[in-house]
Amino acid sequence: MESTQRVSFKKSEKRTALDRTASFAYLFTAIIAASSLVLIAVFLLVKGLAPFFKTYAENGTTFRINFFSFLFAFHWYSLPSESGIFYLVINTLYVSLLATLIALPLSLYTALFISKIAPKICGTILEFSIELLAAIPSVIYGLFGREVICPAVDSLAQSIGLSSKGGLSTLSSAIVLALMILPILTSLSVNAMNNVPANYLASSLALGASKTETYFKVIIPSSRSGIFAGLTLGLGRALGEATAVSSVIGNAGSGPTFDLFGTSATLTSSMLLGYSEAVGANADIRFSIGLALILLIIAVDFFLGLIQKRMERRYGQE
Amino acid sequence: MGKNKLALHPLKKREIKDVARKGITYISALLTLLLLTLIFVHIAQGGGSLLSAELLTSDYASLTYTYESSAVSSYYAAPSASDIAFSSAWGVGLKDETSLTGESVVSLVYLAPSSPMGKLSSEVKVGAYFTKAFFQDEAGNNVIALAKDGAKGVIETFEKGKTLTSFSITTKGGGIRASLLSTLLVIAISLLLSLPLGIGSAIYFSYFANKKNPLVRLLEKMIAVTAGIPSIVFGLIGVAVFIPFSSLFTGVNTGSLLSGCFTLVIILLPSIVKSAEEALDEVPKDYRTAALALGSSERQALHKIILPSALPGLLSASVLAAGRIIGESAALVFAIGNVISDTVSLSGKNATLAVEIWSLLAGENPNYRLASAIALIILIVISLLSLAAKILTTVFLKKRGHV
Repeated sequence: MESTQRVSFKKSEKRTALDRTASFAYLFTAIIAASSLVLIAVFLLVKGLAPFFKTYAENGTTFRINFFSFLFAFHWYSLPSESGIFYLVINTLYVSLLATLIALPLSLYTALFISKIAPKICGTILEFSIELLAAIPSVIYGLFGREVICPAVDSLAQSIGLSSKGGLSTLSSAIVLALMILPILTSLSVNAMNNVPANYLASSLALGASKTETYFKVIIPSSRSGIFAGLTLGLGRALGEATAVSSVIGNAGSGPTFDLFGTSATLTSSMLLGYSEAVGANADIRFSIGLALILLIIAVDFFLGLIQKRMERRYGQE
Repeated sequence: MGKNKLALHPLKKREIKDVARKGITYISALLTLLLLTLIFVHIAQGGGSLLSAELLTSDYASLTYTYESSAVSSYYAAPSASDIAFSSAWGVGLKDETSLTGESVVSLVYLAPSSPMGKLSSEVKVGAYFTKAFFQDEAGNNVIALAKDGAKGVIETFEKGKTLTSFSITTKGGGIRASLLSTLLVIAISLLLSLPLGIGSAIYFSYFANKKNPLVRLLEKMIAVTAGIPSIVFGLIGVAVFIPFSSLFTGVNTGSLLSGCFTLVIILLPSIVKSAEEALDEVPKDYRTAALALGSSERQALHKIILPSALPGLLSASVLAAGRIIGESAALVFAIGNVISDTVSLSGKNATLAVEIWSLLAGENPNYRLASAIALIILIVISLLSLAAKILTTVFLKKRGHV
C-alpha cells in the first residue's frame, strides 16, 4: 500500500517537472519572437548612424557625409557628401496623404454598404473580395499601376494640356497606394460599423431620421475609432511601401514635387533605386534612410493619436 | 395648394437625398469589385498566353549553340501553313517574331521530320530562334545566313546553300524554372523555421501566460510593434544581420536564399503569432478545465486536447504565412538580391518570383508579358491559399459550433 502511493507520487512529480520544462520552452519561443524587435532597433540605429562617423574614399577622393545636409538637402545622389533626404520626406508624406484622401471615401462607403445596406450574400462576396485585394502582393499592384494606371494618368495629363513622363508620377503613385490601403481601411471600418450598438440605430430612427440618414449621420461618426485605426494602419503601409511605388513614381533626383503629373521619389523608392550596384557610402546611406523612415512612421502615428484624442474630447467619449 | 407643396417639399428633398446617399455606397462597392476584377482580368490577359508547362520548366537565360555539320541539301515538301518562309532544300520553316525581351527574332516554326538541321541536336526544335548558318553553294563559295536578314532573307540564303558547314541556334529562354524552385525552397525553409517559433509563442501567450503580468504585456506589445515595420526595413536588417550570419553556413558574403529565409522568419513571426493565438483562443476554456479535472497535467491537456482542436486554425495561419512569403518583394531585394539565374542553391542569390517581377519592371525596357505571366501564377496560388484558409477556418468554427 505504502509503495504504490510512493510510485504515484513520484509519477506526478515527474509530470510537473515536464510541465515546467514545456512552459519554459514556450516562454523561450515567445522571448525569441519578441526580441526580433530589439535586434531591428539596435542594428538600424547603429548602421543608420554609422555613415556620419565614417570617412569614405571613392574615386580617389575622400569625403564625409554631413549629417545636416543629409537631413535638409533637396537633392539626392549627385554627390554622396551633399545629398539629403528632406525632399524625400516631404514627397513621402504628400504621396501617402493623397493616397489616404483617395481611399478614405471609397472605403467608408463600401464599408457602410457591406455592413448595413447590402443583402447578406452581396456582403459576403464583397468581404471575400476585399480579403483577396489585401492578399495581392505589392509587386502586382506595381505591375498593374505601371501597365494600367500610368497610361491612364498620362492620357489624363495630355487631355488637359500637360505632359508626364509616360504617366510615372505622383498621381499614379498615390492611386496605386490608395488601392493598396483600401482593403485595410474597408475591413476595419466594417468591423467598427458592425460593432455600433443597435440602440443607436433604434434611437435615431425613433427620433424620425430615415435609415439612410442614420447610416450617414450616426453609424459613420460612431465608428470613428475603428476608422482611425484603419487610417493609422493604412498610412503606415503607404509610408513604408516600396516595390509598388518604385515601379510607378519615376524616381526624381531632386524635389520636393507637388506637381501631380511630375515624377517624384519617396524614401522607400530611393532606398531601392540602384541598390544592387551600390557600394560604399551609397549602400550604407540606405540604412540612414531606413532609420529616417521608421522615425517618420512613429511621428505620423503619434500625430494621428493626438488628432484622435482631440476629436474624442470634442465629440465626447464613446 | 401652395401650402401643400411647401409641406411636401422637405420630405421629397429628404427622399432624393437618401437615394443619392444610398447610390454613393452602391457605386463605391461596385468600384471596389470592379477594381478586383480589373486586376485579375488584366493580369490574366497579359500573362495568360505565355503561361504554359514550358514556361515553368525552362531556363531563363537564352543560350546559343553552334553545331558543325557536313549535311547536303535535298528536297522537302512544304507544310500546309502558308504564312511561313519555307526552305524546300533544307525542310525548315521560319517566321519573324518578337521575343520575350522585345527583340525581333527569326523563330523556327517548322522542321521536316527528316531535315538535316533537326538531326544536329535536340536543341534544334520548333520554338527555338535561328541565329546563323554557314553554307557552301554549288560553286564552293561560302554563304552566310544571319538572323538580322529576317525570315525571308534567311530562306533565300538557305536555298542557295548546297552543303551546311555550321548552324547556330538560340534557345528561347525566359522560363521561370529557377525562380519557381527558389520560391518553393524559400517557402519551405522559412516556414520550417518560423512556424515552431510563432506557434510556440502563441501557445505561451494563449495558454501559459498571465496576461496581467506587465512583462508578458511588454512581450506582446513588442511583437505587435514588429508587425507594423515596413518590409524594406526588414530587408536592411537582413543585410546587416542575416547575410553575415548565413555566411557562416554558406561561406558567401553576399545575399543568399538562406539569408532571405532568416529575414522572412522575423517578417512572418508577428503575423503567425497573432493568427495562431486567435486560433488557440477559439478553443473553449472548458476543454482545458475538463481535461485537468480528469487528472491530466497542463502539458497533457495542451498537447492532447487543445492543440488537436486548434489544428485547422493553426493550418490556416500557416497557409496565410505561405501566401505572404510568395508575395514578399522589398525585403528580399535586399536580403537575397534580384539576380535571375538558372542554378538554384541555398547560397545563391536567385530572385524569387515576386522579386523577378520587380526586376523585370525596373529595367529600361520593362518585360510586361513575362511579368504578367509570373503575376498570374502568384495570383492563382494566393487565391487558392486564401480560399484554403477560409475553408479551414469555416470548418474549424463549424466544429466549435456543433460541440
